[in-house]
Amino acid sequence: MEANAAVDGTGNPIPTSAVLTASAKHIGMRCMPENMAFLKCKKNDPNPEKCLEKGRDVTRCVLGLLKDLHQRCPKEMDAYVGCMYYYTNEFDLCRKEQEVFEKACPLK
Amino acid sequence: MTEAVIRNKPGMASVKEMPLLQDGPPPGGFAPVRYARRISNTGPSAMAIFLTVSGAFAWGMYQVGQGNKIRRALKEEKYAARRAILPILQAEEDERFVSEWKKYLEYEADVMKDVPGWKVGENVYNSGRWMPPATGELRPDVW
Repeated sequence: MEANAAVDGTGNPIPTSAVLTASAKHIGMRCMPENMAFLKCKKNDPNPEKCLEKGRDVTRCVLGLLKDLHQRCPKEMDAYVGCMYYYTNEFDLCRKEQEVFEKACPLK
Repeated sequence: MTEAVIRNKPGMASVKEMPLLQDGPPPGGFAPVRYARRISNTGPSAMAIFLTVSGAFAWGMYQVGQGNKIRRALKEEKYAARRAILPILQAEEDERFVSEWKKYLEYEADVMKDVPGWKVGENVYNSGRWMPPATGELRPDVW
């Protein structure tokens, strides 16, 4: 499997750094409640065993969102993820692919 | 001897009659050379120069500010992306850590099972806060 592939064999997006930064704006908008809850729990008690449930919520939300994005606009997402991988997660060097991606899968 | 050969005058009786060979001015003298200063008083006034320079400076500083605004926006975008993906990364690391910690506690219980009065696991600090394990034995590949 090449390092810049966005999905593994069964079609699930792998949360690599390129994939995560490519979909970071979507994650920030759609998984905001779960993220906030997890961060509040962490601020309260940094013990990882205490925040496992909220962590699982976050993981479920983000992985589901990645899968949804990849199903709705696979080619644009693959192009954007490839550009991010090539330029090591530098937003300013991938504006074209970002626009195409956000037109296909709007931020809403 | 060579001087007499160069400055030879035909019919000269002795060396004392050699003509003078000098580098001198042309006949009538050289043309006059002007050496007086001629710095004109025309051109922009001091106020004009000052205003132009400070205008250029002000415009340049304004461009610097605009550029800083753009750069700050780019940095904000980068930081916002990092804030958005921080929870999932931390959650994944927590899962990995919890399973690793459980294995470590079992190993500790197995090693210390013959020691009387040893409470396995979590005998680290007294402050009540959770602290990450201080030795590097859980992640030898990292440390």
